Amino acid sequence: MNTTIFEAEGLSKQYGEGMALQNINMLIEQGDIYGFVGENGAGKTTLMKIISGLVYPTKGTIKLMGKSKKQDISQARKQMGVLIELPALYPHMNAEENLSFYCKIHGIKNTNRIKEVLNLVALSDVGNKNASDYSLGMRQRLALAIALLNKPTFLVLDEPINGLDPTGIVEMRKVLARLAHEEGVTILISSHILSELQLLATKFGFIHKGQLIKEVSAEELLQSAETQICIKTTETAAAIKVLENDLQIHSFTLSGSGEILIPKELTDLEQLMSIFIKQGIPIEGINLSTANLEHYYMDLIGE
Amino acid sequence: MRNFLNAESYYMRRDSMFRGVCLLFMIASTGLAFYMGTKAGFEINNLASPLTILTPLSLFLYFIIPIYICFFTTEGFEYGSIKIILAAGQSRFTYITGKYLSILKVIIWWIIQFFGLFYILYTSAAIISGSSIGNHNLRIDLIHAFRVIGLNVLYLAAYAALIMMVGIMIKRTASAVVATFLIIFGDFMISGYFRDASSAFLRMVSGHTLTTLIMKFSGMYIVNSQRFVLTGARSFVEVILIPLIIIAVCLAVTYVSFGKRDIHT
Repeated sequence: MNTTIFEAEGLSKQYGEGMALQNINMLIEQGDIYGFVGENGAGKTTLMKIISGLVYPTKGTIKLMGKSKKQDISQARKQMGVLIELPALYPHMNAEENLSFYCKIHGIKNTNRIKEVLNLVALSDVGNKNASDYSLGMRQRLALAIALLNKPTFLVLDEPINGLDPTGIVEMRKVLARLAHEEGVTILISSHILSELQLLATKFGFIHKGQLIKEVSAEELLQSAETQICIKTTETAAAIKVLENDLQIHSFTLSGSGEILIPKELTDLEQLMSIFIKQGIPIEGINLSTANLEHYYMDLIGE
Repeated sequence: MRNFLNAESYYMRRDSMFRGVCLLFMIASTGLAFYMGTKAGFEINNLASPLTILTPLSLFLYFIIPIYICFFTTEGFEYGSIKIILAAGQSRFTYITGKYLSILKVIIWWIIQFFGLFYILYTSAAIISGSSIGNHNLRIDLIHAFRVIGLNVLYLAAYAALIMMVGIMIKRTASAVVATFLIIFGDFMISGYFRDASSAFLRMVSGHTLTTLIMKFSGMYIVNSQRFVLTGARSFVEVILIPLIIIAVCLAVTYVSFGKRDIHT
């Protein structure tokens, strides 16, 4: 049986007249990489702040590492690492000094841990440069190093790949995957880069206007995904006419970039190609695509 | 708590503003030692008199230290470190208590630095220049000097509690600094402007402001060319009780308000 790392029951948070969270019931088990998906202002950060003890819920209860009493939750937080919103760095200190400060907060005496985490986030060669001179990506990596200092069993990461370059994103993914798979760290992560989240997470929670509208595992997401034929053409209107009149296909969708998406079971690729060529419709590209997290999320919120 | 105090000490040692204030006090002590010494020919009545020479100037401390306290209390919001500290399992009570204890430590350090360096330089200059060093009223001067130094610690602690309360409520450093200036100079102006007011109430207010009390125990409160000093048990009790009440009220308000509020940085 898996150990529950975090559990929320009927959790609500009200700011003035607005509800940031509404009756959230959520479960994160040991070893999960929980991808938290939602638009800006959906309530992701508020929930992470409640877990971190920065914000008090208006209603409902939380359990952290199985503890529910205020004092015990405080103790349980000692096993957590967090990165919430902007990186919390001292601009007048370099990477080692920033980490030394947080080492003292955690009571870590072993200074080798600083070198270990700097290596882990690929910041070991930044020298004496102060954090104020770092790029956003470097700041983000140093913030992750701070979150990893105390060898946490539960990592709460709010938009950790913000500002990272493509290499940085891949490195970050590798680090998090290694922590989860080799060290059994449980991770709650939010990101707007859904393709990255899909590569990493083992479970997804979709939050919309403060409500957790769906929770699915990565396997369930894969099973629910239908394969689609994706056609790119310069004459979209003509192509749609052919689909509706000649092939009697009406259940297709248009992607944001103007591609036509047709469920694969409605037709086959060869028939489609030949009829388009016959009608003189130029095809720039045609491929099979599996519906991804982005499509799943857009479908879920009805947009 | 110990971990948090260690971390705060580490932060201060790396803080350029803290270093700047240390340097400022060093320059001020050195400059004052030589300026005042040259004027008086470095003659001293007894070994405690360099301290009694400096005590009337202790008001200088109140224009510098509260501003640093304001920066120090709001730095967690400014840089976001408060998020990590609270999420690391430190309680809000520990956060406030740790901040306040760190401030007390730094107040004591700066007072020792300000008075200590002045004393060492003044006495050394007196010895080197061969000026006369007497032994008159040593006990009286020593008691006076240590009383003023002790009261300075108490009054700076009261300012610290007041500014910490305001800083934690405002959270933004820039706005908190403006509020701190208003507190310091507001108190200073109430002390001065209401001193000669026709209303007895305003005169009473003026007589009990922190600035007035500091000037009284430092021996620099002058009204109509007459110097007022602390005399009688009542004035001593007043001088001690007022900052203690301020400390108790401000800390209580800070604990309650910070303990209940959501943290957004």
